[in-house]
Amino acid sequence: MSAALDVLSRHGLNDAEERLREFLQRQRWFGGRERDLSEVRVADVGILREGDPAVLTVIVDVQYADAEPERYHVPLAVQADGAAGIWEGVVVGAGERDGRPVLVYDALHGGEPSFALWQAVAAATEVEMERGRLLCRNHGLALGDTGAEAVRPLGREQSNTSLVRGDLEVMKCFRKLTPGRSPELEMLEALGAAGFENVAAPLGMVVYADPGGETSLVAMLQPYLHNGTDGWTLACASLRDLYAHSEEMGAQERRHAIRVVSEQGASFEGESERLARVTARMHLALSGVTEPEDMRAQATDPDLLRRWSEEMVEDIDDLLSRGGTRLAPLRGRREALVAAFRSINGIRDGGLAIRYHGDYHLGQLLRTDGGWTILDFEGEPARGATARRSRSSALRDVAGMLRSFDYAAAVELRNWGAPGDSEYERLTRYGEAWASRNREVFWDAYLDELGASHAIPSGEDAVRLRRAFELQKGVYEVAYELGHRPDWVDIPLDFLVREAELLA
Amino acid sequence: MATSVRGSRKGEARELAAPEPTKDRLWYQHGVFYELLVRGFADSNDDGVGDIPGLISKLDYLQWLGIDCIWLLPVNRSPLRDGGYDIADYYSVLPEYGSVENVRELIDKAHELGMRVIMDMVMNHTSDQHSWFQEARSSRDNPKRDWYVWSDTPERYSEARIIFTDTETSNWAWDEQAGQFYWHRFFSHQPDLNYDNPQVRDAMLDVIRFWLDLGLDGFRLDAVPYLFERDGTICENLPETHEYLAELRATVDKEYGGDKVLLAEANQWPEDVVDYFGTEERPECHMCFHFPIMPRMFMSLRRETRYPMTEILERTPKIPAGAQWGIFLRNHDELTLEMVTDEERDYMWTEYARDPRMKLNLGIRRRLAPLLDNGRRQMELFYGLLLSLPGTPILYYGDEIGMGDNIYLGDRDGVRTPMQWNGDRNGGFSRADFARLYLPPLMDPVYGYQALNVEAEQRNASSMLHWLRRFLAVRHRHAVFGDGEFEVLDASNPSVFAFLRYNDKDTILCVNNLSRFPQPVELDLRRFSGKQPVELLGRVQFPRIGELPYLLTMGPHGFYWFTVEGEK
Repeated sequence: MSAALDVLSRHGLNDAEERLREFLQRQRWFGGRERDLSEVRVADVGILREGDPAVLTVIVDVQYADAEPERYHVPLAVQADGAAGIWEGVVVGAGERDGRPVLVYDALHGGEPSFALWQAVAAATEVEMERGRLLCRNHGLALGDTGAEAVRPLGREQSNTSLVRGDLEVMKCFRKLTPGRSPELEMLEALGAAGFENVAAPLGMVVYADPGGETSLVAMLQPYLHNGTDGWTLACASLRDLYAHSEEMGAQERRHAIRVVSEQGASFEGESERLARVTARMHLALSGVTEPEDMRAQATDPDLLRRWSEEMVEDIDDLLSRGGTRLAPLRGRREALVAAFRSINGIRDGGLAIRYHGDYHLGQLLRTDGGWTILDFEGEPARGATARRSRSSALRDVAGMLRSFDYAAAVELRNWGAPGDSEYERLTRYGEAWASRNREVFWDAYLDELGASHAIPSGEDAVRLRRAFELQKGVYEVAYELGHRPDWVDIPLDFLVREAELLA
Repeated sequence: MATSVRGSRKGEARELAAPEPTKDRLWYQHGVFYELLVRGFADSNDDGVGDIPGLISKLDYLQWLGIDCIWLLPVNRSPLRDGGYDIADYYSVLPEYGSVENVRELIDKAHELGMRVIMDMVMNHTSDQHSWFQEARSSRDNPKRDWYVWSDTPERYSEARIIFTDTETSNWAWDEQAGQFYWHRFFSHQPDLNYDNPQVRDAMLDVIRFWLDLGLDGFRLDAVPYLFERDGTICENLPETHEYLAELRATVDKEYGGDKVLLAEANQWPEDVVDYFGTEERPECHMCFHFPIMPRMFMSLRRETRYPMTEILERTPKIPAGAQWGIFLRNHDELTLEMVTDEERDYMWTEYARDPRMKLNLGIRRRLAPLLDNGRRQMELFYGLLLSLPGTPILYYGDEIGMGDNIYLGDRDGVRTPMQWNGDRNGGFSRADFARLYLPPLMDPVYGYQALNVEAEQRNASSMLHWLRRFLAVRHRHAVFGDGEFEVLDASNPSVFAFLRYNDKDTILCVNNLSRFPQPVELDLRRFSGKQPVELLGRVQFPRIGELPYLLTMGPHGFYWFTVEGEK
């Protein structure tokens, strides 16, 4: 038996690897549920806290017959007194410790075991584990008098487990560990260092260092954002008001639709303007990063622009190589779109290539009483670790946000009718007017806030590059929706067709 | 003539006063205030102008409604060039309103009915008709000369802004008779008193004593930030002004037993206004108005999201123990852009300027009902918020029945039309000839007195008036509305504004739907797990709170108040 298994056994968890395999397969965040699991191995164990409950930090390696191995972080609580009240869904096993019956369960279920992580961060504890080390860093956490009773899981998450302590902090605990620098953490640190305030700057973190010294982020502590609503939800509340209002008003001309949008009660334009200014300030901050070297802004050159345009052309050709009738409207319009993509080669100065958000849309910002906070800096979800850390034009983020206005209008519209309904066409006009007004407000305020910065190309070149990124995003969206939400394919498809018509 | 009472000193008048309402030093935290214009309330002598005996005849109505304190707009003798905020004699009452004796009678009757009375007091300036100014301007040697602020040149204090930019071009006005310029922060017919002169400071303390001796329960202090002037400053919020207010408060507390109230009108941002509460050790005013809540409430209703309101509440500083905000939906004043900070002006501009409906109402005084398109549900929601947010609610006369306004009467007068008591001639306000009324009552088909009046609403159990009266009673049962802490709850639905009011005895959950559509909301109430919420109006027991998100379904513009049984 390895030393790690021995520690677990002494704490009452026998057959730990078997128990953990069963436990993992019941967890939503476990990536191997549908895979051919060949081995579950305890790679390392450390004692975060002795006593009752004790808290062990456990690193588990998982091998698959049909996929790359994965590494997971599974902190465990070992409890004798009061263990009867523990919900069985979180239990890993039962056994004996020092002659007393104990229950071994997931420590990220709130209460005393979870609070141990807060205490470790507050004390900047370093745990010598059986093989590696667990390093806690405190960047401003103060425990005060809010204790274990206020620590609760946030719930409803796919790949991580987040805990809150009252309304003070959120601890995002990563289940699957990725060695190397965390793109999110380095973005938050870079933005924090640049004095950008619209992020939840880390208050502390927990890192696992394996015996070879390679580190992985295990947990990150951030301030809890009280009274928050994400931008998507707020935008949909505005659209709900608009569609209801236009029903109340009866038939109107298109030019009236624009006026109705700018006069509607639940106007979103003030928010769009504030969103744009926050976005521009984020890009200005990222344009100024000097450390680490691979986050530093670079000038774009004609080669880079050519590479971008080739990627765009590849993306649409990949999409069109798929069969199916859904894409029929797009096939005849490839040339117009390709021409738009290639047109960016004529841009004299492409501005800067910076680290950018990468997955920027309305749902990634949270409105609180203090304004907008930008969330989730993990980069483009569909791309690998290296690509997530790549640099490109800030206009990729802008394009993502502008597409998001379009999406919001179209998605909320689905609550009000379906194509062919008598009202649908008219409501579509209002939705388009809403998206168009808010895109305009966003773009104007974004440019205004950027000021004289050279982060993006100047004048018409900025619009050309932005449009190309928007179209590329639209192509990505069509591909994504075909695979995930076929009902929504029309949203980006209509956009591409409409734009192609204008370009032709 | 008032001179017979002028000599009265502390103690004498109090012996004559009726027994006072129960001694509760913090009564102003738990009460409900009612602001009224004597001119517009009730006319007892058929001269077309409301008067104090008329008001006395209506006290039982205010008691029935559930009012704790009546705030009288200025009643002192005045040439009325600024709605009475230009006082010509602090010791007498505007003759058409009655006499000082009438005021004493009003206070006594109100006290008998368990209500209190405060009135407007203008500290900063007098009318140019005041005998003090007349004496002061007569010669440089006059003993009253130094009671005002004089200068040979209009250059001094040039950093001080001009408040009434529409009518005034300078804070200095040339006085031919005096041969000097005099200082005025408001209209040029309102010379500022010189608070650097100890005689002025004492004279104003004597004015305060005179009215408190009559039994008055306190004052709304008008325009307090401007009492002193100092070179190189904007002449607002100066330490000397705070020092004087602290002295005024100490005098009132010491000589009148500590249950009087001073309500400051400092038309500024909450973080600046908060200084007018002073500190617990050296208090200044008991209450200050919270101006920005009201426009933010309207904005939240328009936007159907809580953020315009929660933002401003988040930015409202903590206030010392014993202090209280005064909050209102409408009063005779209006928040205008020049009163707010740059940041807030930008916000208001971004939000209001794009919105023609909001812009239309900016700077125009309207009553509550027309501002809400006479929507009953919206009015109820607004009253629900007013009665549950932190602060003491101040109602404006007529708004309890949903009275309208007459914007064609001009800026101030539009919201000062006669109170509508019944469907009789002149709405029961006066038996004078119609043409003799100080302002015509509303007569339109929607808001006119024949359609909308107190008598009709009293008869109709489902009227706005009855509804409000019931909610005032609910508020009175729960002191926590007046003194409790305030905490906004997270709600994933931005159209829902949920918050807690709590003290060590009571916890109340308030949930408001700002949307005109029904809305669901899930609240994290796990800290109350096992408790059963009880709705306050119908005492309806709602499902017990568990570990799961607590689901509520809200009707359009609906709101609920619950006690969350037991201690928090």
